[in-house]
Amino acid sequence: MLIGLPFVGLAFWPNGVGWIAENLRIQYNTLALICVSVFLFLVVFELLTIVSVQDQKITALAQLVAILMEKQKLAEPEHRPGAADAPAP
Amino acid sequence: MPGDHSHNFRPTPAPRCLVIVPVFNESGSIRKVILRLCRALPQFDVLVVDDGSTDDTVRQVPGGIPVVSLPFNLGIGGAMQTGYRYAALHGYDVAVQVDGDGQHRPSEVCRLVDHLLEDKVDLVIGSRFLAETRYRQTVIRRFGSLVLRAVIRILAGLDLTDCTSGFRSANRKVILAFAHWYPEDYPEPEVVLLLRRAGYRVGELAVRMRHRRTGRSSIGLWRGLFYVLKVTVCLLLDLVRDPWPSGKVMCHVPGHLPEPVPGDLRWPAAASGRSQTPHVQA
Repeated sequence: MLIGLPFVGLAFWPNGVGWIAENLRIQYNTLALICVSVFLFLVVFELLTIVSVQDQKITALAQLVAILMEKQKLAEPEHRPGAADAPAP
Repeated sequence: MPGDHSHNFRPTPAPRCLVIVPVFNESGSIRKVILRLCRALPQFDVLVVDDGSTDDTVRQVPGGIPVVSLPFNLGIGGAMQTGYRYAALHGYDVAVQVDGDGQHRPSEVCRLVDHLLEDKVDLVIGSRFLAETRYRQTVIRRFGSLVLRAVIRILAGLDLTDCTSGFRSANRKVILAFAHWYPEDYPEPEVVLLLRRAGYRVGELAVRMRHRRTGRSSIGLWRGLFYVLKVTVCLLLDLVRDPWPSGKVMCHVPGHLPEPVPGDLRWPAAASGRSQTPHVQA
């Protein structure tokens, strides 16, 4: 939402970028490029944060599924406790 | 009789120990490794964590040994965390990490556990270089070890001769911490710094190891250099993060039914000076 607010502002004030460029004495093209770059950086950063959180959840789920499959004896028969060729202590 | 407290004596139950063997395409050595472990350590439980092997590693594991097969490759960090989750869920007191390539000697496992049970440290790392040894590394690996040793000494105040060793034993507090969160890519050195910052005690013990007999090391020349650089960057970033994220972990609560229930997770606060924040189950 916060990333989108500047666009809402520009919708009401189309000359905003030009006004800022004039006051900062930067070329319009340069300022526009900076604004787009910052926007893309923020979007990518936000998406990477989401991906990172989802990655942790997927990892945790995969681990728990694997443990549950072993616990429910859904693993291969020879790897269940008490199998015929279990090594003698 | 007065002073006779023998009737009150209750022998301390032996700690339950789990040997975690993470494997990825180790079909050439895993059977021998497991059989050696079972013969040398009959009182220990063994767990094999298959990290998405594409060969017949799982079929080579002797029958009767539990195998947790991950649905896809998660890396050594993900595989080890699976083992620690298993240990937490099943109420183990000690977890030992043993590689599936035959480098770690079963005879050294007991020494690691005994050192841990002296209760002076929470994590014991088996070091190839703490004592005089005939173990030899490649130049790249040796250089990387020296760099990481210096970095960890500066950042954590710990002088570890072998911070990349995967041969280590952990007590229950560390098992719960690892079950909750564990670094993914190159966890061995990162874990040392993070545990130290979180107030856990980390120690080293001289052990003997064999050279890898089968399989291929996952670290070559350029990957080795990149590994050192990446780990150094990770260690620097670890300085500014919360040493261990808080939260709950599924664990076995002693005295209750053996079915796992959500437990609380308490972090040691003494060394770090932070207040304990118990996370009580909902």
